[in-house]
Amino acid sequence: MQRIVEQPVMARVLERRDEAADLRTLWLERDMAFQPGQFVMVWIPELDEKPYTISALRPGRIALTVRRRGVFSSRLSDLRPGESVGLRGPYGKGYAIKPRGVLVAGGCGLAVLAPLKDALPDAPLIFGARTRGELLFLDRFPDMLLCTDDGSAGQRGFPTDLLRPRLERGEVGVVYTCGPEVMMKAVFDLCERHGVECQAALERYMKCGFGLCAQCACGDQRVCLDGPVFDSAALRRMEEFGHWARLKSGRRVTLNEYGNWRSCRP
Amino acid sequence: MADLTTTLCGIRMANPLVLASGVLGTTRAILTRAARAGAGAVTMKSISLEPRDGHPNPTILTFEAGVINAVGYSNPGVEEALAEFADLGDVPSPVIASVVGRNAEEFARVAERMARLPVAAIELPLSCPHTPGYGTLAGQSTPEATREITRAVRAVTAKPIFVKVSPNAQALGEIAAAAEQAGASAITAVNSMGPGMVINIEARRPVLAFKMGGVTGAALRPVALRCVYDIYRTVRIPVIGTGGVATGRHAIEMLMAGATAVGVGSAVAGGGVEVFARIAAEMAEWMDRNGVARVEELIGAAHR
Repeated sequence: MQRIVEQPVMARVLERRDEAADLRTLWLERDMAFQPGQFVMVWIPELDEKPYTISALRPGRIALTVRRRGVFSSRLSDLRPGESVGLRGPYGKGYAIKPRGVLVAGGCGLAVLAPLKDALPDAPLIFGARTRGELLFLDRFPDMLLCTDDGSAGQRGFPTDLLRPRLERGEVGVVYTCGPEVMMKAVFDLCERHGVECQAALERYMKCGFGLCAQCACGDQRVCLDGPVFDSAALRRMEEFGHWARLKSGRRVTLNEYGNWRSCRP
Repeated sequence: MADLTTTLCGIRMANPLVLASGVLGTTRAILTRAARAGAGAVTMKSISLEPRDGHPNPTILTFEAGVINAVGYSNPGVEEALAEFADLGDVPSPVIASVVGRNAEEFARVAERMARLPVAAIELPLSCPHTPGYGTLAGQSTPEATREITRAVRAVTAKPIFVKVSPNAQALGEIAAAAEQAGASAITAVNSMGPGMVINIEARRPVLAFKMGGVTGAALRPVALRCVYDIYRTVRIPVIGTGGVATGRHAIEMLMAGATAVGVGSAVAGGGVEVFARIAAEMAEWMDRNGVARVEELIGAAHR
């Protein structure tokens, strides 16, 4: 029988960098075998523990990119170099790399796709945000194809508008996506119409992170262990995808209500 | 090939393995998956009268000999549960509803409504060690409270009632006997033990947000086995032996101690949902090799 010890190990903050008004990257002292799409559970002692992606990896250090939203993310953002945070993981299943991939990110979903872009520097990366001030990693990925809801940067419109012509030209083998779930649902639906595989990283409220409690259930899948990245075959069977998510109590609500609770867009 | 089918309080099961409450039991779809993966019966995560968020994270950790948790009965409440579990037609195994309350009246109110669902039985955990207002922390783990709560629930449903007991209880035999006298149909032995604690020595703080939590898995198994052994000698109703079972040998050990069915929970952490099929196959293989045709030949074998 497999022996596992799932407990946080403390990691020191080495440096921090502001990405946008409410967005900050923390570099932590840690080596990690991490596949893009996976996540870690981040523990602030005596406060809480929440899942985050690793947004960048270098020898001996890993990055968390944190949007300031509530008490936890504010405390995390405010950690100073020399202070520590607990990490366990990485957990879950990442993206499965296939030929001719296109990356489609929305909002802070780019933090999830960023290490995949590092691994696939030639793959096109479409990045959409509501407005110019919410764009991030502009220096890191100068070749990004940008769009904003309000037209304040890049093309005015949605990431699907930039993805559609590429699908129509038949130049896309697989689409990797992460962002608000309504956007991922639109990307998935578009891929379905063109018969192209879509891999989407879902987000649900989590507890254990390793498949025991099923707090993060979406359909009969556990987002923490069976996902968070699901392929088209799995997404097709998942009736909750694009429609429903569960609050901390397990109560099923619309993505809109879930998004309000998480104080981020659905 | 050995016959693994068994009957628990009139409930026919394809094998004696029961998905324990608190593991995977959050939704109808996940229960269906566990049943399809080979669980002979499946138990919902416990349902209370009102929705509960439970304790902050971290709530569930593992250590070198098992799992420690302080989830704190997070659940969507009985109203939502009635909708979530209204149709259990897809679930290929019997479903057990786990019900909690702060007092006998609340247990009865929730149980009466949950019993309207197509569930095979109602389980009453009177023994959670880490949720203020419930279980051990509310004094439910005594012969008197067990009698009162079991009676109250017996008055509102004719379905089988499983009373889940704590391995910590000094008066375990008296508690099991009180449950039996008050109308319980079976004893689930046992809930998590402790509470225990894990400290991160760099952070110099307990890791669980609630600081302490119930201990399950390998560390609990010999304790659970002794509890089952004792309860089997005390009462005539069947026992569901739960605690650290991860292999076919462990399950057979539980049967020999006196269990009619065997709970599996923490083993999902190491073995995945597939653990049920593997344990069942290991049981059948052992029974074949040792000339045991049926599960009931093993129940209480260590006492004869």
